[in-house]
Amino acid sequence: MKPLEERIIDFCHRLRRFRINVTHSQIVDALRAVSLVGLEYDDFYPALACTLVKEKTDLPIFHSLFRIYFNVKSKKAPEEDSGDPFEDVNNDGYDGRESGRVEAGKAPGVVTEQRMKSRIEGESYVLLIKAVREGDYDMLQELAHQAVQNIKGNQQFGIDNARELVKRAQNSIGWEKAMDEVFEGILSSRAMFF
Amino acid sequence: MFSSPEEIRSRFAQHNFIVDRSVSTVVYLAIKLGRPLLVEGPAGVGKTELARVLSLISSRELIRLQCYEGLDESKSLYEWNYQKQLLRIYMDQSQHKSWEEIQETIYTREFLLQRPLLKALMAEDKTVLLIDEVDKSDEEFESFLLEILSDYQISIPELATISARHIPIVVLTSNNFREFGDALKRRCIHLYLDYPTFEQELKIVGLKVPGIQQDLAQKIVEFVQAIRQIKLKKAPSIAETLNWAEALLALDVTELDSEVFQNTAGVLLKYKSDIEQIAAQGPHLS
Ligand SMILES: Nc1ncnc2c1ncn2[C@@H]1O[C@H](COP(=O)(O)OP(=O)(O)OP(=O)(O)O)[C@@H](O)[C@H]1O
Ligand SMILES: [Mg+2]
Repeated sequence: MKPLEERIIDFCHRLRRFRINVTHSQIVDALRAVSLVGLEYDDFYPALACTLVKEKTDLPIFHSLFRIYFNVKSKKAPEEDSGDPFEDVNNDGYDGRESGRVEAGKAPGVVTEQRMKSRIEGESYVLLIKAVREGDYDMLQELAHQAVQNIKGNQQFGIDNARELVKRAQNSIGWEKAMDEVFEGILSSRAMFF
Repeated sequence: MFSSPEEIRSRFAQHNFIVDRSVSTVVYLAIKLGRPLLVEGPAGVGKTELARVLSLISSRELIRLQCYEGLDESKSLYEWNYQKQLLRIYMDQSQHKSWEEIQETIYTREFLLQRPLLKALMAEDKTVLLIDEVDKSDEEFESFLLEILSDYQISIPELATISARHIPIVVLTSNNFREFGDALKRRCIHLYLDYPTFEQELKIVGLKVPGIQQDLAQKIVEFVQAIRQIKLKKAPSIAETLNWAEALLALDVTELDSEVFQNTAGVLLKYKSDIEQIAAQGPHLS
């Protein structure tokens, strides 16, 4: 099997770990799709997204996993580290810097950067609630990673504004709203006992 | 039929339908993989238009099934033409034909009313089948749809089993009015359409509102793009941008100020509360 195919299959398994349930036939579709359109970012990304993501709310997680896993670098912030949490990812696969085929940092083609931001905020919030309620540590970690990514680039990290930065990171994934909802849930379930 | 996503994108553009490459890639893949294309997105982003233009550029007839609550097989697939059957029964009876004989004649294609799904299956030529606003139909209909989109074959008990001559290009659209079933979703290739970027929308306005000054078009699109970032009951869609641009052009407006906005806001925004909100805290107008 070609390395790229292996990587795609491996990527699908990662998605499963993040509760994006990918079936065998979806993986087959994804492989066929990629073989039909190739590796240009504007083709490769939608080829995987349109075959693997069946719920709109899964798009943000798909997007960040895609960026991490296929090592897509942002053009706007070339110094940005991928913050790669997967130890087995190396640079011999799909890599935007080498091929120059990746317009990285770009949200899924149909979605602008700005809109992606508000979408991430809106939808991470749903995921955050889910993760807290279910005690899903993987998901929490991924969301924290996303939150840190979200505030990167705009800010200089400094001791005095650290609190502010954390707040921003939290806001960027809809922390407050999510916690309100989680607590509301706890309160209303308590209320039933009174 | 199409040799590349780029071909689809540029042929869409020839019909003034402006999308970016990734959209055409998904359309291309749905066709190549022979899967239904499920287009999701907010109102007015071109979901229906996509199917229409796709039928144009593929030179296929567009067969449209509009979904609604309570839509059932008789309205989507076929119905017997009872009136015509009755007439035939009267005529045959007067000629003293037996019931068996009559039955044989009235359950034939002549008495079959073809609804969109059956039409698409029986069509001589290749078609594009648009199943519009599938989220408005109910669950029962959805599972029925899943069956058809798996086998492309139906059985009419009195007549025969009918298999599609050609598998149509199927486009389903949804506004997310209701979540629908996993099984149907898994059969489809997914396309999430969103509002266009500034550049795309400017291009669309230029193409669809001929005669508009570039300068004004730019201001209009900037304004619309800005208010889409504000949480409203109903954000303006492309159609509303176009209507507003037409209205402003007709009124010979050259400058977007708050008076112009007040006088024409109804074209752009549907709810009074949205208009008030934008007037109070929308993008700055002179
Ligand atoms: N990408 C585009 N390029 C050019 N025109 C567009 C585009 N998208 C939408 N339009 C214009 O916007 C109008 C509305 O689009 P359409 O009716 O297809 O939206 P829709 O997504 O089906 O909305 P609804 O959910 O309300 O049915 C179309 O008539 C078309 O003129
Ligand atoms: Mg429509």
